[in-house]
Amino acid sequence: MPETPTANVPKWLPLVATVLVLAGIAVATYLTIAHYTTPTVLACPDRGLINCGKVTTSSYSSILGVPLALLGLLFFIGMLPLQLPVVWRMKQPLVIWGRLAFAASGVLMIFWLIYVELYKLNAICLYCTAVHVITLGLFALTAIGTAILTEA
Amino acid sequence: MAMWAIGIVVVVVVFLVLAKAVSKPSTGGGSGSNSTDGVASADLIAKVSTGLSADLFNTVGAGSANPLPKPISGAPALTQNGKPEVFYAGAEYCPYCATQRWPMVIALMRFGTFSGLGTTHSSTTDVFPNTQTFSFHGAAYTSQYLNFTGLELQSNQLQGTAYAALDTPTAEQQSLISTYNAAPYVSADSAGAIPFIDFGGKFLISGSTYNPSVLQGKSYDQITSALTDPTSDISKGAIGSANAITAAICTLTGNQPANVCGTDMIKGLQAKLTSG
Repeated sequence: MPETPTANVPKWLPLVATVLVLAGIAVATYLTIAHYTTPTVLACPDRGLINCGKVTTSSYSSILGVPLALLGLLFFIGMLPLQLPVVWRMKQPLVIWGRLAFAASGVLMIFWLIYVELYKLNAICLYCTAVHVITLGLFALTAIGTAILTEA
Repeated sequence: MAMWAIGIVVVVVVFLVLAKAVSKPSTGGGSGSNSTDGVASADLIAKVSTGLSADLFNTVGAGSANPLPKPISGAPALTQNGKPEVFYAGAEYCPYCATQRWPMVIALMRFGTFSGLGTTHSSTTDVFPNTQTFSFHGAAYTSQYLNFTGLELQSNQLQGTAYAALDTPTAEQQSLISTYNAAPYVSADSAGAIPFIDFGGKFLISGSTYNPSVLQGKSYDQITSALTDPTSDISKGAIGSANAITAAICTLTGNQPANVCGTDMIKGLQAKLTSG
């Protein structure tokens, strides 16, 4: 049984992480709406390498019928409570490691999505890239916070 | 620990981007070319092959397919390597080609397999804009029963005032198009129209065999989902047309394979095709 950590993360970390999650929810909501309505609502070039419609309407835009945009939205909604300052003060190992595992799962998905965009579709969706950056940032903050809590 | 984890993530992302930046563009299969949107995912391939049941094909029958493949007489058999040949000429910008590729792919999948099958969309400025579909550019088809050649003559990307050239037909293929995509084999009105499909020199299709409007604004998910509902307009059009195409191909393959060609529905369609 791991020892219960006693240190606290710096106050800015949960705040920045929460802002990132809210930004992720906003972008993922936009992409989900575009998926269920029309990709033309995406304010994004549709020629050359930058082509949001080409990515969001591709055959890779869903897994088993579930749109990836919706999965992204659910990821951020699930991440929101985990990144709140009050939850960062919780020292239960399940919360600490569960948050890290959840953030890592997002990163693994991002690896796959970047691979699909660059190697399968030859196109980059700006909104998707924003989600990727937010997810990577969340993972970085979560890893730093987890290290502070567990290495204390 | 945290810095190691972050470092690994950064290295993976940088590797993906740099490897792409220094890689040579692919010449086939759509990925890396400036034409197709990408390579069809395994999920999409499954949905238009193993995801469609024999019951579904039998229930839909001819559906709303119209016109059916037209029988031609007096033409030499179109073969390659001793097997009947199905020849398709279309273009990625063309909405009628976008419409017709769905039943073509569904029917051909019943006789063999594709590799490198692309995904693309019709022109965003033509009628029935941005119809989601497949692309035969760079695709390879393998079957023990027949050969398939699919040419996409132009992409969906404008170069100046015309769509960029894509696949170039051989002299023999150009001769085939010039001869049979003209009166009296097709109506004078549709001479030169695409898609043009020759089934072994026995049947022709010029244009789409169901209404392109049923695919309008639909995503791949929505289309493949509708395919499995025999009451949907998409299923009646695409599955119905696939059945008509299957019946034509069965005529070429001596009704092989039996599990595809031996049904009463296909036999009934063959009778319809040959009666003109």
